[in-house]
Amino acid sequence: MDGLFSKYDLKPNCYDEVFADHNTYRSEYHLIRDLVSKMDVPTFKSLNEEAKLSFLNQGITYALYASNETKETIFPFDLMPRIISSSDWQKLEQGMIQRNTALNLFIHDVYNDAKILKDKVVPKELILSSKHYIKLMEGFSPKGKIYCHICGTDLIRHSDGNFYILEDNLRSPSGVSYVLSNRVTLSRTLPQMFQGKMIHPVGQYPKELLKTLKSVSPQADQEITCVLLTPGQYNSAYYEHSILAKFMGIELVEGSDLFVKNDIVYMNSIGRKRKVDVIYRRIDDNFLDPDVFKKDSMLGVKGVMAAYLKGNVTIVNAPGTGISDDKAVCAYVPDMIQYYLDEDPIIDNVPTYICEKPQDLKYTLEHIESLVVKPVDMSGGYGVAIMDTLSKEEVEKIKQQIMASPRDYIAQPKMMLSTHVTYIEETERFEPRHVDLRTFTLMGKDQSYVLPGGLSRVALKRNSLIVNSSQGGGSKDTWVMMNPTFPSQSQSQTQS
Amino acid sequence: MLVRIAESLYWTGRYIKRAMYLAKFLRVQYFSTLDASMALNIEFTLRSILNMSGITQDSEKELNEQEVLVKVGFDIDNPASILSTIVAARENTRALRHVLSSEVWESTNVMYHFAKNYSVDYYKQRGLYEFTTKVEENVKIIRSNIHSTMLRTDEYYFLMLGSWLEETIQILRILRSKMYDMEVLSQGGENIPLMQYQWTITLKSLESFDMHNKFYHHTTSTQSVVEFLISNPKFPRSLYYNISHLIRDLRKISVQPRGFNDFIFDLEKMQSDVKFFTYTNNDDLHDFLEELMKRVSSIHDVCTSLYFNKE
Repeated sequence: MDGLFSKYDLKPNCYDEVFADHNTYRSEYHLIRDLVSKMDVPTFKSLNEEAKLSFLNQGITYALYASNETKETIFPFDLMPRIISSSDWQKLEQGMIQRNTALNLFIHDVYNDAKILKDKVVPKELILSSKHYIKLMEGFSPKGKIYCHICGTDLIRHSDGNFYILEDNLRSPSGVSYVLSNRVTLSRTLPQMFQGKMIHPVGQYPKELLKTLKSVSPQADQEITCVLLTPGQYNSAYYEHSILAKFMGIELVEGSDLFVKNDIVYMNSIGRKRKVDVIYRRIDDNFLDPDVFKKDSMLGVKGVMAAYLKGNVTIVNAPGTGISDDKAVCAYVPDMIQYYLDEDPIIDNVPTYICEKPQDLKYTLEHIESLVVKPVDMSGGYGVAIMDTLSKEEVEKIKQQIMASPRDYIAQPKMMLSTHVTYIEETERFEPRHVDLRTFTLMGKDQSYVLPGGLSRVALKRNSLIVNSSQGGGSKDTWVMMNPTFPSQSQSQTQS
Repeated sequence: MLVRIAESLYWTGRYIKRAMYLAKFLRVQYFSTLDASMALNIEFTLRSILNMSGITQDSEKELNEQEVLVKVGFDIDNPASILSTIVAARENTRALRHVLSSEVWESTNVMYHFAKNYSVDYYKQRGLYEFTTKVEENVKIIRSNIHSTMLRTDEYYFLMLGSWLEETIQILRILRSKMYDMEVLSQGGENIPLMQYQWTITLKSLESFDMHNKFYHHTTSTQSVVEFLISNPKFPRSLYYNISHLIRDLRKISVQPRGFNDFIFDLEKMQSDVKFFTYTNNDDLHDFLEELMKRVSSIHDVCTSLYFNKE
């Protein structure tokens, strides 16, 4: 290793994304080798500061749910990109589409014929006991039978070099704005890095998202009005809501900006009130409509569910989609793929023990020291217990909790997330840090799209496996290289 | 356009202008006390600063200089402080970043981070000049970005509506509080040099000193100053200029709700009263300004009922 990475130590028993061994770059990283070998740490450090200031001034920040005061923080950004080869990507892309096709078929089935439950492929109790199950959705079929239009799937690369699925986020997955701004910031800060490279662009995501939203509009014949419904500017993901609305050129609305009259949704605009066709909502089901869900919700729109069930407006993602967001249900996705598509899963799940199943519970309790236990229904990395980091008493306490309510827990073997070269400000050195990958898959009526790459999240704390921004995570620009053997569309356009 | 967005744009226009005037007034007033003719009157100036900022004060209590400066500059619990105004401007633009150009948003955000991270201790000791000057510079950058990067559509005109209205109000406030200062100062008999000095400060607070002198060939009197600031048609810091532009931009908003014509009629009446104002004596001027302030304040209420009502 030379230049910037001369003091880089590989972490034993982990797949390192950049180095195959101490002296060998993996093939896709040859692309940046020249650049990093010529650069020194002080130069890199000042570029890093520049990038941070750029994020702050652009207001690319998120709010932490701190105990008393919300603090605006920059999502830490690491300038060293993560590179995914075109062959790895091809497989991931196909895997995501397969998975999301099956998930959408599953949700439609659950709320309609419930065949998969009757056939006992997925236990009925698991679904019906989910707090995301919405009875009102029974017998209803949304436009194009699509429930999950936007899915964020978290993957890891294990020490065997393969990608595994950790979980799916089917309610309001966030993070795509970081993908967009990471790319912009990296290309501003280190333009040399991009020169002469065929990297899949990410900037077309908002356009694809708008296309997806429009494809599920209740009526297609006239001008379609889509809006993005945000809980407001104090929400932690507000930056993302506003940037997506801006790039799509649609209104960013709060609950009080909408109202329902005769089961039609309108916007409170100056002058003539405008009718709304598609609501891309970034608020949870519970807050969507005080008529049906939480009565005291100030974030939602009174009467919107009635308008939805009449087919006058489309809600994205569909209410009740959360039944598949459950980590225990995630474990059944390979079975769903078999059941609906009669295919083998292209990307495997991380092996998951569902504590509700007696044999899995038994295994979990017997092998608990080597496992990671997760509540089925928490996001943001909260409640994740990595057993070999805990004291005997703490382990015992978790055992008791699992036995008291097995439905609430799953267990997984401790997967060694791959590591990536990451600049650490405190030591002013490059060190290996664990990374995961969140992909973003869009599904509309007769169309699908996977954002090339996605968000690589980095656990900045040494040895930490938890990458969530709320727990000290950062992110990286993620490059998917274009397939060198097939000329890309942009290439052929240049030639003609 | 959403009602909420229109209202936020209007308030953004107001807060940005307000931040500039608060900073400017504070600086010019404070540094005027260093001049010999006012050196004994620091208490008087501090009260004038508080007055202009709209902060209620106990007239018996002796004022502490640093306390006043912090209250006007950095007290986040005081909605009229410079920092509170900047925070409010930024919170509004944050809700608008998808409709504003990123230049407008970013420059507002830069000003916010500057003010928020400014050391209050340094400000109390030495930083007042730097802080207030930087706030003004930041506002000028934001305004330049508004002018050069925003489409001339309703978004722009709602911003400008707030901006013209706030400027009108601020000029009026400065004139009124200076009139009040004059009354206090002339209690022990009229002191012409001191009065002239006060008018000079007023002109400087409004960046009007040079142009006033150019227009009136270097004679400063109460009459020249108030007529310049009230009815001059060519000077952008006059009431007439601001009210005229407010009417012009209001007409450009694509939606003309019911009641619009009556509103314009009242505004044009106000515009003409300002245009034909002539100074006769201080009492009449006082009454004129009080009456005008009431009419200008009602513009906000009419805008609210015409544009910002929700279903």
